[in-house]
Formats: sequence, structure tokens, C-alpha cells
Amino acid sequence: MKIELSIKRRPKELPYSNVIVPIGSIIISLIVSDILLVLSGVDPMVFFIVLADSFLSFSSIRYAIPLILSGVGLAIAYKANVWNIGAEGQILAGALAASGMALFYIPPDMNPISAAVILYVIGFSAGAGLGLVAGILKARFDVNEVLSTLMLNYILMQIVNYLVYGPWRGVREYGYPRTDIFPDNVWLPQLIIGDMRTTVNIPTLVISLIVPFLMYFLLFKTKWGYEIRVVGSNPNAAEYGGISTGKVIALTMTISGGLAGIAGVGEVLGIYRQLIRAERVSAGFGYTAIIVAWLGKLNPIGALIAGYFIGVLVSAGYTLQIISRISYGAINVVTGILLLSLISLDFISKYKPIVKVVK
Amino acid sequence: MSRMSRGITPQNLFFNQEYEGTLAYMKDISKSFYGNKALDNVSFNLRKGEIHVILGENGAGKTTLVKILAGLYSPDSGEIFLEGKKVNIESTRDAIKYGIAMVNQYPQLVEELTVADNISLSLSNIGLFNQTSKIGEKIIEISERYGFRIQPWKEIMNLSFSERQRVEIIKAIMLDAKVIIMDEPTTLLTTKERRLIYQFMKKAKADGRGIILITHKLSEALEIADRITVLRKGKVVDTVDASEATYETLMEMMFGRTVTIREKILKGRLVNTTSPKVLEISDLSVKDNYGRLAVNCISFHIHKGEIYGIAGIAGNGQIELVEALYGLRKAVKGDIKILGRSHGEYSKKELKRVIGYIPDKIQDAVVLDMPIYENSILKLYDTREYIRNKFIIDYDKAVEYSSQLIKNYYIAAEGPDVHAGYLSGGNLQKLVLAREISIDPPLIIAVNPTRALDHFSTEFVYETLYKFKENGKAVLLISEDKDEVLRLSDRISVMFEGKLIEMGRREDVDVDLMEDYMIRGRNSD
Repeated sequence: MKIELSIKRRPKELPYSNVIVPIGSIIISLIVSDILLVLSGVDPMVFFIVLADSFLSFSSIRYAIPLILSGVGLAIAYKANVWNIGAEGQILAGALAASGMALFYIPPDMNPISAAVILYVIGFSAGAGLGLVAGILKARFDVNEVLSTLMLNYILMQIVNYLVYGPWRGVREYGYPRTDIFPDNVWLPQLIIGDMRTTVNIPTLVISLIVPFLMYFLLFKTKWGYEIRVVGSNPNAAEYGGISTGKVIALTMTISGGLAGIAGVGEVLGIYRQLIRAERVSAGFGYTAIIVAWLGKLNPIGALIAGYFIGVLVSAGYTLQIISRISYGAINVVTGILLLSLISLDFISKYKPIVKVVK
Repeated sequence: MSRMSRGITPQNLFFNQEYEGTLAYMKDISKSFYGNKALDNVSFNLRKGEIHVILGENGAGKTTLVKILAGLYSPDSGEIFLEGKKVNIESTRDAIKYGIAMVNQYPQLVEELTVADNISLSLSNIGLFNQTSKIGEKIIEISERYGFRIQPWKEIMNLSFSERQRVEIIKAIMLDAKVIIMDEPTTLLTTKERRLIYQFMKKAKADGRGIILITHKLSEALEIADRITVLRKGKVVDTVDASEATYETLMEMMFGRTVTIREKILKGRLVNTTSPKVLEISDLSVKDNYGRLAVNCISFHIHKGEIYGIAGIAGNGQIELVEALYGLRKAVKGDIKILGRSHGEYSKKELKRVIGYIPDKIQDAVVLDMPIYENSILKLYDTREYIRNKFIIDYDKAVEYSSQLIKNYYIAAEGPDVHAGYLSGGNLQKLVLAREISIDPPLIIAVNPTRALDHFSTEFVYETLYKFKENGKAVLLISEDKDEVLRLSDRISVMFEGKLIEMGRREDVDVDLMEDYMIRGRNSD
């Protein structure tokens, strides 16, 4: 007796799969994760209580900001079939460039608004520049962008760490691997509710709320968005129509790197106010943003919602660590299962699996 | 058919005289696609040792019916019996197991693998070790027996459309199928090759196999069929013996009305040789993907108001030639001039707008997961007509424009927001034609423009191209169908192994000689 597995493409995706797939995968991942938590000795309700609590916490918003920005950028790149895995490095590039400017070039008496604008632009350009390196390598020499963006992540990580351990190490930091605190005219203001100071910085929050709509507009209303979608769906048809694939690759890598760069600016100027070790600046946001992009079905507004949800998960993970003494890593299990169920459900909505027992 | 099954249960069905020798019986099959009934209670039976033609217009449900038998679709309702036994065909693997093989209209092969690899993929009894070398030998043997030219070690992506079809035919033979389904197999073949396919079908039939042949060509149906089932709008009109059918009765069954056929020969025109040249090519050489010379130093020109036809069997350099003309492939040497300006003087985008191009692989000219309205502006999306405020696309205008195209070119789609992927091959072809003609370029390159089209659509395309040329434009027609070339072109040449053989004005063409050149590149005498 053997079991035969086969698949068959459905003539059309299952109805409402755009909604059912993300929501269904969230539900599945939560249930499976809770089972795993129970097995490691946590009360079954704790996970859901913490999660519900995190839905309304500022800490979730704080994590959602970099996730949304990088996730929207990745969605644009993926829409063009450009597999940018380098948001992590692009976040660092933005953080690095903004920190350097803040420490050495922005005069301490500069008007904070002009300083913020300059630093965002610098951060965007740095992230975009890093993205473009991979983009140009792909467009010109057909270098696989998955490898180049991934390797650039490590390069950026090492550069940041070299600087905070070496030449940029702060004189007032007692030898810790971090730069001096930036002058306060470059600090991005944090949201204050009553007398509670949150870690949400207002300007980056506003940007992360506007960008998804701008990018949605770009993708579905403008000629550049049209080009991105044609290249992503059928590169042969793009060539046929005279659309330059190389230009589209460069454009999407610029946008996607640039948005991650802005996320990096928000982290160092809005939260830490100094450049710290690379692992703590980007903190895996660049990789988690890949899940954000897919959970949002590569739609920028979808990525906004997905980014918030993953922000909730990240924040819940930290709370869980404190109250139940399980490791923060447990929350990575949730996001991992989430991605897995997302891919599986997406597959099932497009293909019909057939299992048969043959004697 | 329904009258036959009335009162007969499946169990005693095959004791019925009428069903003796039945190989495959499809009973009361219905299938809908998103509310549209593609098949409505269709019953169909195939006997051992017969060639059964399924005849019908585009969209009549022919392909859907056989795809159900081949396991590509599941029916919504209905049953299938093979040699009297009820079977469940849920996948192509099941179909192969039951001895049903399909030669697809659009062959489904793995692009990156070789012919031999592709064939060995579908042979389920293949062992753990790679036996492709053995299979390669067998492919050569079969291809020699049936006179197909095919190299087992060539990758699929470098094969033309009709070469791919030959791979599928060989595959069916190698699977030793009892039921062989052929979906419009002869559309692209020369008369001689078509004879070979007919011969193959007759041999297979003599072995006791059943052949289902889908076609929209009445003459083919009458020539080769034992029985003919006519489908119209998803329903069986009737099944008749071919010996009792006539051209007229079949036409009436197919279209539900008597139609007067006016296959009027479109008049060739003596082109004034002093009229300006739209396209001028001199000493052009182009390489294929392997770096071999596919187009070998050819020269020709097309005047305004002229259709220039190049006939030839796929894989003789036609694709490389048109890709060089359209700017998708670099020429090794030679000169291309369009309206007196050299190729290099046009920008990438300008070139795409002075040449309308209907490619051989129509899927390369459309984005299947975009709606029709977005596809309709593939070449115009950044022109003044569709751009507002410098960079915003006026999609309302695109919707309106594509509705016009759907109406004027009789594209069977519910509306402009249907995704191109849900259109049939013939309708995709019409969509591309519609888009390219509407741009109103001075030159159109059409490669096999009527391949997937039924009788009426074909006539419509011919008339459209003819009208286009009458308006003082130029057409380069590249086709494997010599009748098409003979019917439309003002001047004709044949392409063989990268060389162009001028046949002269249509009135002067010796048809037998032309066929010889297409097949052998030389005169057979």
C-alpha cells in the first residue's frame, strides 16, 4: 500500500482567499503556538491575555513602525519579483548614516525640524544606496539579489559594530560599545500621554502611516507602479512592451532600501538617541518584515495592517518573557509558524491537494 | 445522445448493442466556470478503433470536455466509464494510468529540460536510474517512423510551438495510450506533415486505439473522421457518422444557422515598386540562444500597402528574425531600416510603437494576471493619451478603450476587468491583434496570427490585416500555414535553415515548389 500525493491547479483562487488566507494563518499560528507554550508549562490563557493586552499597547506601535516601513518597501520589491532579503542591512545603513550626520555634521544649534528633514533624507539615501548596489548588480550582471542583499546585511552589521566598538565609541559611555548621545536638536520627539513617556516617536509614526497609502497609490495608479507590476508578473511581456526591467529593478530596490533606511533613522534618533550595537538596532526587523510583506499579500495597505499585527506579536513576546519566564525566542516560533501557515494556505487556495491511498 | 442513455442504468449499459466496443464513455458531464456553463449535460462515447472528431466553434466546450477526460479538470457532475467500468479521473496521472494521453493545444512541458527528460517525466514506470539515453534512442526511432524532426537533447525552451507539439505526440505514443486526444494538432503543419499525422492516426486506430480529434476545420473532420460530435455553446448538437455528413450540414450544426461561406480570395495588389519602403533589411544575420547563426544574411523589403509573407516550418530562424526586427534580440550583422530610419535611431519604446507585433508565443505579449484593461494599454501606458498629471494612469480611459476593443474585435469576455489568464487562446490572440492594430503603427509583424482561431475569427483576422494594408500600411506575415501565406500575401518567400528563398508575387508562386522549399529547402526533383 502506498500513498499518492498530487496537486492540481485550481482554475481560479478560492473565493475570498485574499482575506481568509492571512486571517486563517494567524488563527492557526496562534493555536499551534499556544499548544507549544502549554507544553512548556505556561497557562493556556496567558498567551491570549498577553496578546490581547498588547493590541492596545504603545510598545506594539513602537515595534510596528520599523516593521511597517520595511515591510511596505519589501512588498514593492517582491511585487516586481525582486527578492530583497536585505532590509536588515538597509535599516542599519539608514541608522549609520543618520548617526554619523547627527554626531559630526549637524550643528547643535540647528533648527530641529530642518535637522529631522536632513537626517530622514540622508537615512533614506543610505538605505536606498545599499539597495541599489544589489539592484545594479542584478540588472547589469545578473547577480542573484537574494545572495547579494543577504551578504550586504553582514557587511553593514560589521561596519556598525566596528564603529561603535572603535572610532565612534562614545567618550561618556564608560567603555560600552555605543556612541555618545546625540545632541538633543536631532532627537525625534516621543509621544507623551499624560505624564507617561512612550517609546513611540511621532514623526516616524506619521511617516509609517502615510507611506503605505503613498505606495499603494504608486503601485496601482501611476505608470511606475504599472511597470513594476508588469515586470513582476511577466518579464517577457515587459520586454515586449518596451519596459526596461533594469530600471524597474533599480527603482524597487531604491524604494525598498530607502524605506528600511527611514526605519533605521527612527530607531536611532527616536528611541536610542545614540548608535548602538548592530544586533540591537535592526533587531531582526528586516527579516521579520519579510513576513509582514507576505502577510499583507504584497499590498502596501495590507502590509500596514500586518506590520501592526506583527508589532503586537513582538511586544507580546517581550511581555511573555517577563511574566512567564520563557525566552523571548518563543515569539519567533509564533512568527515562524505564521509564515509557514501563510505559505501553506496560500498554496491551498491556488492548488487542490489530492491524497490517495493505492493498494 | 441523451436519448440513448434514457432508461439505461450504467450497469447494464454495456450490454446494450449500441455501446459495444465502447472505449470511453462520458455521461451527462457538466462543468461551470464561475457561473458560466462550459459544458451542459454532455455525453460522448468513443469506440475502439475509431477517429472521433469533436467539432465546434471557439468556446463551444471542446477543449473543456477532453480536459475532463485527461484529468486536467474535474467535472461538476457526470460519470466516466472506460471499457464499461466506472472510473474516477482526478489527475493527469490517473488519466495516464488508464491509458489516456492528450496532445495539448499549448504543450505543457518543462522549459528547462530536454525533450528526452520531459518524456521520461511522464513515464511513470521509469526506474530509479536515469534512463533518458534509452528514451532518447526511442524518441529518435519514433520520430523517424513518423517523420517528425526532433532532437531528443534539445531543451524545450529552444523549441518552436510545433516542435513542442511533436514532443507531445511522441509522448502519447511512448505511453502506449488507448485513448489519444489530439487538440487541434494539424493547424500548423504543412500538407505533407499533416498527411503524416493522419497516417499516424490511422495506424493507431488500426491498433484498436481510439482517437479523439478536436478541430474547427470542417474539411479535416470530413476527411479523417469516422464519427463527428458537434458541440455548440456547451451542448452536444448531435453525433453523426462522417460518411453521412456534409460540409453544409456540419456548418449548420456548428453555428445553428445556414451560413454562406465566402472564402473570398482577397485580391493581391500590384504594388507600385516606387512607393516608399516601410521595412528594409539588408544582409541581416542573427544568432539563436546557443550562439548559432539562426538567420543567415537575409535581405528583403516591404512597401507601403503590402503584405509580405514568409512561410516556413517552425525553427528555421523565423523567431530570431522577428525578435531582431522588434528589438528583442541583437543582430550580429546587417542593417534594418524602418521608414528610412535605421533601427538604432529609434529608442526602445519608439521601436515598440512603430512595429505592432503579434508573437508566436502569445503569452509573451500579455500579462495573464492582469485584467484586460491593463493589458490593453501595455504599449501606451505612458503616452499622453493615458497619462494625467505627468505620471498617473487614466484607468477609466483604459477601461473604456478596452471595452471598445472587446466589442470591435469580438473578444469573448464578460468585460474589461476579466483577467487575461481566463481568456481562451483564441481570445488572447484577438486581444493582442486588437491592441497592436489600434496603436496604428506603420508596420505589423504577425506570427501565426490565426493559430488558435476558429473559422469566423480567422476570416475576421484576415479581413482586419487586409484592411490595415489597404490603408497604406505594411504587414510582415510569418506563418507555418502555407495556405494562410498564399491567401494573404502580395509577395511570398520561404524561410529554411536561416535562409530566405524568394518565391515572388503570389500570382507567380508555384505551390508545389513552395512546399518543397518549406520542407527540404530545395526543389525535390
